[in-house]
Amino acid sequence: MKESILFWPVRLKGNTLYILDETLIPKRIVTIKVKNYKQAIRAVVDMKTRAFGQFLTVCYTFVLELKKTTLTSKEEQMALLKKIALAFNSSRPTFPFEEVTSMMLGFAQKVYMSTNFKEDFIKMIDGFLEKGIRQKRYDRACQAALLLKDGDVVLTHCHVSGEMSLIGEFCSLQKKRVKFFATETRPYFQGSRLTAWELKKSGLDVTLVPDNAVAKLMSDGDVTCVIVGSDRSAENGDFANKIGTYQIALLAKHFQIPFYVLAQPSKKLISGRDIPIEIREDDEILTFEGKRLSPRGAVAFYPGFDVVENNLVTQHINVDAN
Amino acid sequence: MQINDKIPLIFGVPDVSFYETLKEKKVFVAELRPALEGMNVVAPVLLKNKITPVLICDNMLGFCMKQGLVSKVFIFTPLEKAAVLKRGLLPLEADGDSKPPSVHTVRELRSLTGFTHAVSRDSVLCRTGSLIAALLAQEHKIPVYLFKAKTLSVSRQASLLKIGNKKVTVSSIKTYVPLFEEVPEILIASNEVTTYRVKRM
Repeated sequence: MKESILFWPVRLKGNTLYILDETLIPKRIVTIKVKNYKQAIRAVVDMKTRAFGQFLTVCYTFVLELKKTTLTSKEEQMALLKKIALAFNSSRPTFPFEEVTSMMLGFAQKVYMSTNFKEDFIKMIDGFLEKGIRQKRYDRACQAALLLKDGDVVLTHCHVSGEMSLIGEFCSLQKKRVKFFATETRPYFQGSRLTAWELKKSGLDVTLVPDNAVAKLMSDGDVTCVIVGSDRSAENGDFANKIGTYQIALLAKHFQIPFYVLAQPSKKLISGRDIPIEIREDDEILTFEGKRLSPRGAVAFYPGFDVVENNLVTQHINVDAN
Repeated sequence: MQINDKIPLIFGVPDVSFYETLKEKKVFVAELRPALEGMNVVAPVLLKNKITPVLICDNMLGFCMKQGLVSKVFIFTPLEKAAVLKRGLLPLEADGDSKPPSVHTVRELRSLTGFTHAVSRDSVLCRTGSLIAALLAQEHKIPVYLFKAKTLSVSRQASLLKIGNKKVTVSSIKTYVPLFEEVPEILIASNEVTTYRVKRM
């Protein structure tokens, strides 16, 4: 199956982490070379990588640091892993870093008694990612495609790290013609730069719309369902995703259009009310590539995410937790 | 900037007569893609009137209302009651000076606004996104007020593939940018504009 470069945007080769710089796409395809956990966190905070790329960055950074460490004792190596975990946990508020780092430390605990702690840990993460997670994402995309029928028109928001084109691929295999509308997703343009570009590159029919056109599309019957990703889930099925997802969910309910979410279930938080929302800098709205878009004296308000309550979700398409 | 108090939200491009009705010192202003009139038409006038514009993206309306940050919503319609409605013709105001008012046929209005059907009796024509604002406001029990819009201008020329004249993404991507949509009158608390409706053709 054709896989977008955005599906697996971070790779570890030797002692270097190669992170696809998503802020430059589609103008340039550039990878950032990262040599240590501080550089990895910088890439995350600057949003050079996001969503699934963030998840991979965390996982691979543990492997990277353990691979290149000169620390010889298991105790010291474990302390290093804990230090990395703490650093990621305090990097950005909304994405569930603590859940991912806990998972990594959990793997480390599992192989701690081994005489080849370092090698066994590295092998375990590799298997977890390359065989486990990769397959689970394929399965999830296939499940999503099964929910669609021939002639469906999917509205999506932000970007789901290569899974939307995979859904399109599965639809083709299932002999279903499906079209897409992508919202541009201001202020970072994940919709126009990543989603629309990725879908078009895959040969799928995609139309880009402004974020303000969602009600009109639904009201005119131009879309038949919504599929979005999620950055973080709560135990009750509430989830947080890129800002703008909540209003799309509400409109979908109003216009009686199915609303699906590609989710990663979690028990860490009870409900969406517990998910912290990152507020980012005004300038990310007021400027673009250094150019000022607004008059001096204007300010902005930039909540990066919003929460969708589970009652607005027609069906969660979950990555298999096992 | 962190916003903690309830302030109004402006969605659309108001006629100049709107601004003196504002009592608040700070208001949310939807940026209005793709031409960003929120930033470059609405915000400057607010600043001149010593009101701080708090720019938000068009996708942030729901969040702001759900968080209890919005006191009221203002939307705008470019259509105004004509003294005489000539059959098949819709008079639209010229842009401020002594030029004779431009008059468009319904066919021309349809192509200007992207409408393929006449506006229905119980709704008003507003800038696309106004329906989002009105439906969200209804959900969150926030009043929606309708005022007169600045007349149709250069919005049509703005490309969704650019921002501030800088390219955002590849030019081969198909775009759809409807400029206007119908907002059912039932969603509007107070109508400050005597609008007229186009009869169904």
